[in-house]
Amino acid sequence: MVLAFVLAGASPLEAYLKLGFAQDPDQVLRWGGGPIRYFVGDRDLPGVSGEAFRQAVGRAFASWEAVPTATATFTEVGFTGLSPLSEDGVTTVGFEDVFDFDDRVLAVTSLLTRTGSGEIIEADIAFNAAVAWSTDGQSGFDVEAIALHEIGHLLGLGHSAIGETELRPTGGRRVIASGTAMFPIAFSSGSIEGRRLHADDRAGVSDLYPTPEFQQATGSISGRVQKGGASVVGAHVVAFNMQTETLVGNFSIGSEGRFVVAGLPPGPYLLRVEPLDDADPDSFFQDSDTVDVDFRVGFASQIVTVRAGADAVADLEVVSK
Amino acid sequence: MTRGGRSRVVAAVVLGAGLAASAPPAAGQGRLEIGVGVGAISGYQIGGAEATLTANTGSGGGEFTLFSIESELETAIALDLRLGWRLSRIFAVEAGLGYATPNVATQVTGDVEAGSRSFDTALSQWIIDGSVVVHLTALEAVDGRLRPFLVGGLGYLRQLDDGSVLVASGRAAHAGGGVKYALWNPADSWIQRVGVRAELRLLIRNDGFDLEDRRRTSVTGHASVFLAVF
Repeated sequence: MVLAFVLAGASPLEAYLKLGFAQDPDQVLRWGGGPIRYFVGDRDLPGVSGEAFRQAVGRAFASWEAVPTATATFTEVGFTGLSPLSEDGVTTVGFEDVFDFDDRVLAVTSLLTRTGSGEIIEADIAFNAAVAWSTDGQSGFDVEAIALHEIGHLLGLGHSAIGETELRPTGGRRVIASGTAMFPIAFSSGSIEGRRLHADDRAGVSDLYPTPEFQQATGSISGRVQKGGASVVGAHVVAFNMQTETLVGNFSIGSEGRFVVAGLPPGPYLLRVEPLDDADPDSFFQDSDTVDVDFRVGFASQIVTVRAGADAVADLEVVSK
Repeated sequence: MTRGGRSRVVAAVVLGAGLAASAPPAAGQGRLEIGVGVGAISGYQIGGAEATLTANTGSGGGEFTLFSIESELETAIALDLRLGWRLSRIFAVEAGLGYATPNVATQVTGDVEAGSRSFDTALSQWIIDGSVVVHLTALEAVDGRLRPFLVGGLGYLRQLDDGSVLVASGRAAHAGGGVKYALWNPADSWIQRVGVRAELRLLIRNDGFDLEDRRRTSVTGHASVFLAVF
């Protein structure tokens, strides 16, 4: 079994760090079957009672469970006084005092997986108890929004790069906008904007836990990203549905710079490709040394039509900055 | 609205059939008319879309526009094949097959990192339609060689991308008019008339490739040669 951590919260500096998965990159991490049973930590923090925390976490689980094209389901077992990061075979969501990670990290998800199959057998979500939290959006980081992000990791999703940030003069990054719950940098303290799932999140969880209808009703776009004939690794490719105005993204990976954007409803799409420069590449890739960020934002030269149950091929050519 | 329009066309067809029974086509007109032509379909805007993100509350909240697009179906050359059946001296029904390859011109504007871009995508467009043709016999000229007519009907629209993948389908109602000019009326042949035809139509599309699912109007102009037989 392998224990991996996903650091996915924001911090006073609103930046994340991530250790990444110590897994075979071709291995898909997901639960074997549902419902996923979880306990909730019973601690009270200033401004967040144990009951308010339980309700906020429950709403976040419910948001994921409500995705109609995914089969992931959850059952809350009850309160627990155990530490969320203990390796005990029990999935726990709660506050943690001693945080061994960067103090800017808001929350962390640890996954215990079965070696070989990638099956998740335990996932714990620890909220940094040293951070100011809130469940009413008045002040502090929003428990429900951060729980929504962490539950995405609990389900096996990595970070998405649909978002824009800017560098702070004092260091770190500040998020300007985000189009996915799985963006690695959280909204500001006091914001509840991160409480909803986006098309990118729904496509991701549905790709991991698809209903039969989802596989039949959606298609994908795949291709390569190249720069002067050479493969580009780590390019962020976003498919924009021109009719529903939704964005779903993925990355070019492997020695050939191949990408697949899956879970796309049929329709016309515009493909946008951008360098991974709105967050630390380490937030997305364990081996970020190969990530190429030296190219300009570009678009596919034509509209790409996606058909249900089919893959549309579209290669992208980018140029150096 | 759509249902009402369709009902009116059906009524016109019934009316035309009724008149056909009472007024057979005149000798030398030809019951079956075959036409092949070329023309143009005017372009029109097919709408816009915005790729938006959720703005950080600290950035003012609301939406953050990553980029915007505007698309236009450009004017295109169109080929036209028509098969008509003359019901009476005044009325005829027609079936038509139109083909065009309009270009979809898309402008990307306001991209926060890429500025403005434009690119083209070719579509193959087929329209299969049925029409009622009303010949305005009272306005005939040049010894009956020049014959104005009105036309209206409904069609099925099918648009494919350059990989022959269906992009969209829809309906297209049309109304217009034109003239036919007989170049040749052989006296004793199964060929009854050979002539040219010119017409203008207003084309109203529902569905089809459109970013905003709105009804769109365009104009088509056609010139064709026809052959009337039997």
